Amino acid sequence: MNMKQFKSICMKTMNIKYISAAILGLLMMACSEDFVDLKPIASGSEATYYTTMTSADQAITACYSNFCMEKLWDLTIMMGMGSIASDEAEAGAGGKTDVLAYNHIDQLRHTSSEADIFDWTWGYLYKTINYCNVAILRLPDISIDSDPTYDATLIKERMGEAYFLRAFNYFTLSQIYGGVPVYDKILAVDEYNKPRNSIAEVYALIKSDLAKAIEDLPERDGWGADIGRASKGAANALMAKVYLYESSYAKYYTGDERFEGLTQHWDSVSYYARKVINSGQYKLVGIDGERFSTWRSDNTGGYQWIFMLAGNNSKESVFEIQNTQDGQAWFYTRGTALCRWTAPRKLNTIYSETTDGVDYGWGWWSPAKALTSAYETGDPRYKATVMTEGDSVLCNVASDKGVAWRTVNFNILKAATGLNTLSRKYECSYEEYWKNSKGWQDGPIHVKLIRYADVVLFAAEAEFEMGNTDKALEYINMVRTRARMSGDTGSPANLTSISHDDIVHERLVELGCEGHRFFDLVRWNLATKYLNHTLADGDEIVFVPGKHEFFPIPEQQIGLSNGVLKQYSGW
Amino acid sequence: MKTRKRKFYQLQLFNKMAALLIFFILSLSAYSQGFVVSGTVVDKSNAGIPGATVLVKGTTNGVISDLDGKYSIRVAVKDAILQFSSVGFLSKDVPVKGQAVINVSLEEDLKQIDEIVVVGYGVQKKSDLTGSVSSVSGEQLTKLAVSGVDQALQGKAAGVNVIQNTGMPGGEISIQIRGISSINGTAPLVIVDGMPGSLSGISPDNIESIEILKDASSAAIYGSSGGNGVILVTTKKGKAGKTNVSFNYYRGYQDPWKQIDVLNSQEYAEVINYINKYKNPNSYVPLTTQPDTLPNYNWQDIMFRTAIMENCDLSISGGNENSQFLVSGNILRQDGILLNSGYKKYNFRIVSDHKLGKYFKVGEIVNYGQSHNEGYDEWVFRSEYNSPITGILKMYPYVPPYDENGKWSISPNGESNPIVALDVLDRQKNNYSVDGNAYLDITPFKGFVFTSRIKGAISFGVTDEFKKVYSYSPTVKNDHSEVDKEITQYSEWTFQNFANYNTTLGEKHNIGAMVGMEAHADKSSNMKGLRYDVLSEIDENQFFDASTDNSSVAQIVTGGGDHNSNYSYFARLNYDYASKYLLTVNFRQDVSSRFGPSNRKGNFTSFSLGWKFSEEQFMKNQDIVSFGKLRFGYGETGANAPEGFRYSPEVVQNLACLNYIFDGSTISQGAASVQIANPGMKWETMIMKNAGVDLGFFKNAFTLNIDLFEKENVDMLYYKSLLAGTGVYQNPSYLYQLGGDARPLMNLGQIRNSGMEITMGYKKSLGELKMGIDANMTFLKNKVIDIAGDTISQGTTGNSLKNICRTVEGMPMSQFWGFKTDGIFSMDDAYWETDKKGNRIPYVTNQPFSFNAKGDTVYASPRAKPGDIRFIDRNGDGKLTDEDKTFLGSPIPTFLFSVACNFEYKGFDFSMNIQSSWGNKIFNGAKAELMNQDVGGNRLATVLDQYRLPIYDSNGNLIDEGNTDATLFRLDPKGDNQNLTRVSDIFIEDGSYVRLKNIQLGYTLPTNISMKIGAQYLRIYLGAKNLLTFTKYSGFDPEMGSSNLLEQGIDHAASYPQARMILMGINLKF
Repeated sequence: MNMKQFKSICMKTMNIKYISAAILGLLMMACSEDFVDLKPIASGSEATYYTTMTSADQAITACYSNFCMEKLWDLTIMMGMGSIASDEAEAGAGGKTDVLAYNHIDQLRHTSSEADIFDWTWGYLYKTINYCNVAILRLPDISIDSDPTYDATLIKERMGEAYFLRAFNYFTLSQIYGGVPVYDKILAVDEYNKPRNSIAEVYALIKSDLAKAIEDLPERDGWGADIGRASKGAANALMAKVYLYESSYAKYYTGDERFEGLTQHWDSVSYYARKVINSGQYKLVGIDGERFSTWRSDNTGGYQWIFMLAGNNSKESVFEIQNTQDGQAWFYTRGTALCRWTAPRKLNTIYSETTDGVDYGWGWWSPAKALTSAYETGDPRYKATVMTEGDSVLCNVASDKGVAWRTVNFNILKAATGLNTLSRKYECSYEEYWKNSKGWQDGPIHVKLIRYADVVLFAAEAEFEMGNTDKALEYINMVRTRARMSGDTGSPANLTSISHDDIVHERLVELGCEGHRFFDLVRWNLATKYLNHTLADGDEIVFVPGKHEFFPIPEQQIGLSNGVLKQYSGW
Repeated sequence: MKTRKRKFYQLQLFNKMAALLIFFILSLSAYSQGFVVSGTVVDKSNAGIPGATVLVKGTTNGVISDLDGKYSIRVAVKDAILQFSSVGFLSKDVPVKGQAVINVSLEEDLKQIDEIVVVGYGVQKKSDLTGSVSSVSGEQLTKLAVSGVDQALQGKAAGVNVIQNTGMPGGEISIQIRGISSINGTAPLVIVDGMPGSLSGISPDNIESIEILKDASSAAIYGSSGGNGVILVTTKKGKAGKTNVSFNYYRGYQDPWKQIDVLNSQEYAEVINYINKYKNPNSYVPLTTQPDTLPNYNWQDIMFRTAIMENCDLSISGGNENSQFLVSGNILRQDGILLNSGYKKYNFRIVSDHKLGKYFKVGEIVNYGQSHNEGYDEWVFRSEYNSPITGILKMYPYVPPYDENGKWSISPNGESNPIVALDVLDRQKNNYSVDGNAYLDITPFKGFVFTSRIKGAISFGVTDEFKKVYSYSPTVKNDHSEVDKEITQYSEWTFQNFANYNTTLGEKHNIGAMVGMEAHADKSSNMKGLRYDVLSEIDENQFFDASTDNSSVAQIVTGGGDHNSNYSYFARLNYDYASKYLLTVNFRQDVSSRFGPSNRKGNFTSFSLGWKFSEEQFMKNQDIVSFGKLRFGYGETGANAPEGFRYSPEVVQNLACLNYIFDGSTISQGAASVQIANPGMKWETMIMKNAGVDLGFFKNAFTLNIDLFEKENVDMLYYKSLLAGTGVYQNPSYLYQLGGDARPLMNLGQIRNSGMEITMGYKKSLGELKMGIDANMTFLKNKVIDIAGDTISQGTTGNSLKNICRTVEGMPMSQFWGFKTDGIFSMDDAYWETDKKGNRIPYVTNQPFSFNAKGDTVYASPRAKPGDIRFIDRNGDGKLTDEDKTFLGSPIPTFLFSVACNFEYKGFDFSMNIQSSWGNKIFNGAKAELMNQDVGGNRLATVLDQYRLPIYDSNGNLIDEGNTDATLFRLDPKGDNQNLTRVSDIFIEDGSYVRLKNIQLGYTLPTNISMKIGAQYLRIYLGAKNLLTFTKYSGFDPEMGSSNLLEQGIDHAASYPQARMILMGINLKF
């Protein structure tokens, strides 16, 4: 290569440099950080979102939203854990292999890998607690500066709701799992791996939250149209329940390390229950003998009425899930799946001579002998709770020919399905649900979480434990009176004396199939006595003391904690 | 000239538009001066070479030879030099020296390896490549009757695994290049004519060539998008010379290649009678006492049909040396072998290229595509709950499809007659897309090309479904008519500018440099609505505005959207010394909107070296090895985040699941963060190492390429499961309703793929016999190195089989996980017991046991009976628990092998493709579904071979002898031992197969005959697809994929079966 060639190459290279640099340089100017700094479509940034009154409303609404989460509170916690796990009901449905998790709970054969039920109860309850923690963290930042419509009272009430809901979810977690990890604020992602707190520690947070909620929240009437919100009465009732559980655990599980630090506070049970009773906000519906006109009858008693659609948010409601029929499907609907799950199944088989019988329900939740035989003769609560032989069952046998519903005798259903009974609470009429059901889970009936009768029975039990028999009798007979006045047989009569067995019995028949029985038996340490039995097919149900009081922490969570979370012994 | 005129006249008949174009183009060249040189370009056998380029050297004046090799060119000066060249031949320079006729014979270029291949933002000589690139020519693709380019790539290149997920027409195809390198997907980057695009919009007939970039040194120029490999598609362009019209058509007849063997009515009665006896020994009711009178219906025959597939391509191309054009259209129709399913596709394409003066070249491609799917979405065929296939297999063999009145027959237990769902199904999915791609090349001086390209594309998808009112049975009915519509929109643009410069310094220093930038943005949105109760069911009323129910309850509208943008700078340097020692360096910086401000930039660099040792002196004295090159490459590529906006916490307000009602009627909107953000998330980085050797023997008649590779994703983005306390919990089945995956995306994962690829080719001409054999094989090993200690369990089939697949560190992805079994219990293991009803039942005692607190013996399988499966108690604790589960096999093949052969003899040609997969297991979910029913419904025929217990009534009389010689686990109507409800190795089958994917025999008519109908080329052929399959797998098809990488290899008894097709076709050129 001579010098000339070299020069020419250099010149060329220079030219290229300049040309490409110029062209590319010009084009590349166009690319700046702004080009890639996009904002998501249809969402806001957490750091700047919580500045308005609307954001406060929305944050709190989210804290309630999981009450409508598919199958969570209605089917899993109330029906599954609270009821089917106990002696008051069996799973029913398609037999022992239908939705195994529920059947395993029924037979106390469940394990920590029963993902469907344990994962989502644990998971969604903590998810709600997280929403509450966000609200409790962010709402105090809202001010007159950030929103001219700032309303200090409303923010206080919203905070009260968040405290109540956090307490409610922690309490439910502790009913199901015993001691659980307590998170009372938002942490860094890697700070969440903590061992269980003791039940006493969980209760400490619940009590402190409820104290704030009681202070912040208005009474039920104070909410105006928003009757579904948590109220002072609900917070007092939950406080009574927390003390009731604490006192029972302390009394019946002395020396059990799971319950260390708990003490008996029967006076507090009574104190908070009486605040509810004396608030004037609530009533045992039907206690005055009033009758209601419903799709079932023009003469429906109060006890039955409160579980029907018309009984949503009745005077007896302390806190209930505000289900609605919104025509939406899985995971969108704000309705309950109960209405379909507990409706009769296999009616098409009964009417196999025609082709238009309708198998419109799934036949879950079959009250067992322990419940059906517990009712005193003539107690109207029996027929309001249990569908059984001789009863008329609502069914649609010709849906394609318009409304051609008729009632059939339960015996026919029994012959077809082998089920002796079905739970009747949360029964819907054709017009109320079936006519417009678009999604399969959009039942409109409210699921009762705290009912006034329950609170009255808290009071009865507390007074009994403190030796105030008269007071106890007064409260228990309030409940029995309403039951009696809801029927026409004069039964059940008032009690003239009271024992612990009477309380156990009254809670069973008054609260049958409402998800309290299992947790009650556990807190009284009576589960072994009532639950152990042999099924018709020879299967034995064995409640193992020291193990079965609480459900196992989901296996997946144990794994994620790398062993920091530990099962109670026995699991 | 006479024939030319005639042809031209015919052409007008074909397309007046094209003729006009040609007039226009021809007129452009009418300015030329000088004299005319003409002649014929032939090969050594004296046959004309069509399409050869004849160029006046040193000018841009050139023409293309016609089909007979004839050319005619106007030359300005008498001492010009003509350069003759054609692909596959050595080019030749001939001085004109005033001759008017120059006939040239070109020598075949034996260095086939020396073809030009497309690489990212440029082209390179194949022999100079230092990366791992597989090339597939368009010709190889057109001989396959496929519905898409992706399907056509099956078995074509080593290391490229193309899987047809189901046999559904128009169904999804997944492509894995060098294994599964990310949990977030394996989809390679597809570049069409230099721009990001997709394979779906192109007809195989439009393909000129496809290059697959597999390693870092080739793919790194695409940086963050290259991690899963890159498929570079080059489409056909117009060629200068005579206007060509080509027409291709085939028609095929498809049938299911296999039927699942289920019970006939008589066998069904036998099984049901046994089951009834077993359940109720004292008063059993037989299905019928005269099974011989039961009619037989083969439901697979009823529901599957012979379906037509046809394809038609028409293209017109031509032009002169300055302007070329190509116009093409394609229509494909593939009816489904399942009733009420089918696919149609239309493509229309215009391509043109123009030289503007000395320095500029411009061109554009405009493409219109439309596709039409009829019937179910493909996901339906992955779920036994929804799939009509499951219903077909389970349908009672004695029930006719329609009753005597022509109405749907009712099945005995109220299950839906499978014909109902298909009869009422009224669902169409249409996609429309338009894209345009324009370029400008500037060549200011030799060796330097500046290219600017811009592309824009839009597409719309519209799905319409109408559900009419019907009542088949109490459970199978629809009371409310329903109109569903979903519209998706997508738009994107890409703009790129780059400059290539090639030069030689001194004699031997060859330098190629490229530098450039690219910017891209896209936006997508969707809207979905439904409305119930239309006024009437006539077509005109199947829209939203015609409902009788105007309450808000009956109207649901949902929607969403997403957008992305990114820009990049990139550069490449190629250097070689004397074409012997080669070096390539790539660099790219990507900036993406999917990451937070501090992590948006990703830098990706690669290096590769090559040594063409066959150029060395010591190789010159032998004639065995004609070509030899060693290659080494190392570099990084990456992968973008699988979704946007996961780096900062967002509050969403539009989720129904956050709403609540306080006053009994008004829906209050809730808002919350539903996803945990990770501000630190960054690019996935894949480190790739490659070592390869390319060899040619005997003048490159035999070629061999071997590549060893390792590809490790070291920063894999992974949805990290967190404790529920963080608020992360979600029901995995309802992620969409819950606002997407709540778990944070963290760069925690690490996955390694390693393996070897071997490609062999053999070409030989023996007189008039030409043959070519190509084979490729891939050995592959996948290993999950790190997923933050998690165990990912997924995969469900049937009622109770869950968590079938498990992904853990130290193992390949998605391994089957369950119980091992050790045959079945025998009568010797049992003692007879009399139950409460007085029936004698044998119970197995020879099995694992433990003691309970009271000291009683507790058997691991307390109700096991002879014939039941002996599940292995691996930890020996006397119980069968999850702790006894273990790995049962891998759904990922370890070895892939394909062969393609081509033979030509005189006018005949024959080709075939064999494809196979080895070492993978399949979880045959059909067994769970079709052997394990406590209610009615048909079963697999293997049920007849199952062990059956003898049955005694309560008086001790033997009422059924059973079948105690059987070795197949027991027919157990009660499921006592959970034989089919535990995930175990009894479901695991060998999924290896060898499949004769395509075979074709063609005949090209001699030109003198085809000319009689005016055709220059006329070929007719017969072919078959999926003609033979060799496999031990007992389900529908061993070739299946999964859209979810964490649960692969599960056959759901629901999949749309692959079809076998016999076809005939014609290729015509005018």
